[in-house]
Amino acid sequence: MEPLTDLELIEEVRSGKRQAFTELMRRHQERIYWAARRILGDHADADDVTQETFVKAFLSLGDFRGDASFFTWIYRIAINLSLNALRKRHLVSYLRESEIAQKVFPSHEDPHKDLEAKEMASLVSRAVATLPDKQRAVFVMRYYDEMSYEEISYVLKTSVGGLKANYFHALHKVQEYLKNATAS
Amino acid sequence: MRLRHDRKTVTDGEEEALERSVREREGPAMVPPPPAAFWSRQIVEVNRRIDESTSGVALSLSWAARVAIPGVVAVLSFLIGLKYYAPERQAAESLRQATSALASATVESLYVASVAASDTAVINDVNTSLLPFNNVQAEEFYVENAGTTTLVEDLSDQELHQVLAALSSVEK
Repeated sequence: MEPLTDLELIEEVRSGKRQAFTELMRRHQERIYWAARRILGDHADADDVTQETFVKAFLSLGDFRGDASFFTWIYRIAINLSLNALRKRHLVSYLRESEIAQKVFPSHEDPHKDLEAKEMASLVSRAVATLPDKQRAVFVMRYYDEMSYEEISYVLKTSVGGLKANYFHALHKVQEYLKNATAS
Repeated sequence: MRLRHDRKTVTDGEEEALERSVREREGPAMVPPPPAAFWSRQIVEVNRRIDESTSGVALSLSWAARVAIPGVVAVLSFLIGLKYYAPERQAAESLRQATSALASATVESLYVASVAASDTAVINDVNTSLLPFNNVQAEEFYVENAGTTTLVEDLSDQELHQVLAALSSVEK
């Protein structure tokens, strides 16, 4: 017996079969997790984003019209959540750097930095971490997930021309980073 | 500063070459993957969170946040706006209360008086706006148009002057 397609599983979920949603999660969770992890750079945040992605997808399954594949649809949710998490992280680090925050968060207690340090095992991961948020997302989608520009355009709501420029700049920065790292 | 139109158009070939160069330099991926049990634990956790989100309490809270609270705020805003930005309504209510407190005969006499007053006002307006001729013009009118009638023939000169004087008082 052939396995059900994503659309057939979605119909089953809509008719009340929760088990079908578990199957959808099983199919896509790893790719969603790795996309989030490459953007965010640490396991815990990627786990949070992956969970949140599937909870949101389940709750708003009624909004899924099928104009893109189910994977692209949840991938879009995951990328948006990852970018939100990055923004929050920037805000927190900004607060931490401020004079007032120094009193609240002493600099020697920075669990986030510890996690990031553990994550920075790969040179490219380190290079990706230096990219601006949007370039980082485009780089992960194109370089690791090998998505087409049309798919990335659906996910980020940006023109294909803009995405190509973003990706090229990101590649250039990563290449520079790798050159410098290997030279030193 | 680089302007937008200065941006170089990237060809597919350039992009591929750059990407290949990055992949060659990348080296082995050393990001540690999560343990195998992580994936099934994650599914259990997502199902638990979905159960929480779809429970009666969560749905009630969600309904309250999305519908009930904004609804109450909207109604309160409308009522407050009405109170502060529509003072005529208050005045109209006061007039209605005062009227209902009067005896019916009083209300009727007030109504008749107000109608009479408004009629007089209308006639006065008509007199001042539509009949702006003076004594001389009135005299000429009667002499020219009514000179041959019995009215003028029957009147003495003194009576005619009295009529004209009365007409001229209407003008004022």
